[in-house]
Amino acid sequence: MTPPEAGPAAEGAGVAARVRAARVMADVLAGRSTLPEALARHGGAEADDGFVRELCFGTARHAFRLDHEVRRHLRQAPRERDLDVHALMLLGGYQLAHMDVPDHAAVHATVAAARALKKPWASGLVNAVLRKLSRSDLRSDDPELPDAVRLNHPDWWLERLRAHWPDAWVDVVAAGNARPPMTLRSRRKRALALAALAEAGIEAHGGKVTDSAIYLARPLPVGALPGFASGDLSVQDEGAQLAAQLLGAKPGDRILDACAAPGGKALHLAQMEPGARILALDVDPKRCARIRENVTRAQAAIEVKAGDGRRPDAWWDGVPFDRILVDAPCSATGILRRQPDVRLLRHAEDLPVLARLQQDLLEALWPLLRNGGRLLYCTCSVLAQENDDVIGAFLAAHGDAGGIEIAADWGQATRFGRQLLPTADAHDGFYFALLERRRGSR
Amino acid sequence: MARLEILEFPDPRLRTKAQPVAVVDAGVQQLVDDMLETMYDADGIGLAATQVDVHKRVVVMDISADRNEPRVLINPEIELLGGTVDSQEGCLSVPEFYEAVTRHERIRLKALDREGQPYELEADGLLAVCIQHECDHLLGKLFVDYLSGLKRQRIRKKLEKRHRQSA
Repeated sequence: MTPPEAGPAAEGAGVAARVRAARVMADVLAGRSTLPEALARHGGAEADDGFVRELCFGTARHAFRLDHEVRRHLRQAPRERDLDVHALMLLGGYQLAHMDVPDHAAVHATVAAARALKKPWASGLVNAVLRKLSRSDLRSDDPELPDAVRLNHPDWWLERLRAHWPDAWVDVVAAGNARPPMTLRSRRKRALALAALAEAGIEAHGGKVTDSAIYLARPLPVGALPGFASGDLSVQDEGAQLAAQLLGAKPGDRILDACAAPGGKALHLAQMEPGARILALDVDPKRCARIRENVTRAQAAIEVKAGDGRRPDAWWDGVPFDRILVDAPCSATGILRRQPDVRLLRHAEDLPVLARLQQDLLEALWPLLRNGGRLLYCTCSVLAQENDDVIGAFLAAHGDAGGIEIAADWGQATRFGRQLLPTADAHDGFYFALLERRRGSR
Repeated sequence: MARLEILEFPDPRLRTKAQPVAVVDAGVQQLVDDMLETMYDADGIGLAATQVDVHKRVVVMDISADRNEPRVLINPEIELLGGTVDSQEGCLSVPEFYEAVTRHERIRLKALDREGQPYELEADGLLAVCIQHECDHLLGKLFVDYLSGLKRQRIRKKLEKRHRQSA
């Protein structure tokens, strides 16, 4: 017999959170929106936010394996309009395999969520599938599984990683599947910031690639960080912290950050050299609001404008820049651990489109650089198609563009730049190429 | 310990009549332990051996909120003490369906515990309902048998469809 209160009357704890998570993941599975967008769209009780986020990020991280395991027990592929039910089963699988939720509670609340989604027909299916999943090993490293399933990366992605990084691709995959650490950048001397964190009882250590990065032992809400409100501490990956260092800044420099949202790199430049005049541009006005938020918090002198880097006529005042940062939109293959939904949303066909956008940005922005000025091109991609291939083509077409070698003890030199591959426990993956404008040389 | 597969309506094995336990030996105790694990795992408050395809008169129950008062009923016998009560019943072998069933309000139970020691108790409320529900299983009877043919037929169809979908 089942407890009388297990009926529809007593759906309570955790059901609403699972319903929300199912709606979020259905949007992502359908390719309708990114995970952060979908999370923002499907609001609910604030107390559930952390749990919903954990459910969705974790499920996205293990999406291919979970999908494979669930489909083993389905007789037909899920219909488009029932992706919420499918998402519910993936979420349930994630709870069974990777979370501390007791199995019976995970199954029970997930089945109740199917009814709460107004799909009572699905509750039996969800129940049957989850009970089967609870009896199977969803984490085994079974070599019989297809690579995409075992490694939770799409085939096109694995194919390119193997070709580009024959010695390191396994580590790149492991990094992409990892849970990212929370990384901070300290404006002040790092030792001071570490001491302040220690005093607040927050366990942290410094990074190895920069002298500004701090890793928290456990993620915390930013509000709990001493120095966040004042801008002394910002949230920024250690690899991303290299951009401002590589571009450099001098007092009086006019600097353009052409794809600036959410503003972390522009802010870094401003804090590194308060005497620089910085324009932070982003094509998305909503994301410009994010930049302003960050700029205001840190009280940095940065001008923020909404504009398309490919159309300077619309926003450029005609005065050349001393330095330009092109942090180009890219596949995000180097930051998969921070954006686990990218494995579901990115497709091989996106790569030529992105490469075209990257080339167009460079073409349009290069004339805005003064002679002798420097442009730093960077992506969070590990694919040559968006990195060396773009820069190689650009250098070949522009006699006044010269590459500057990046001498560093991190990452590895590529033909035209430097690649930092992502790690599981430290920095994300980035590509950097530094160009200088030379008077008709070559 | 091991979790056991729970048969689901309309599986014909649920209609098997259970045989009395002759001796409460290690094998029966193992069955009791496995059934308790299976019941707790499935969030049930009672489970009869019939439901796990073992046709011996063995029942486990725990109706406590904290899930820490396991009861073992071997060779249970019920004496009716009067009154009737209606309540919503659900069953691990008929998952997700809840229907009102009329039961006897008060009963006296005689059974053996896990060590084979006889005991007696008087019960009412949920405990009485649950004991009657589980003892029905040992006779090959399900709570859906108390419903109208139409309702039972509807539940059977839905479950059969689910079983096909998840086969």
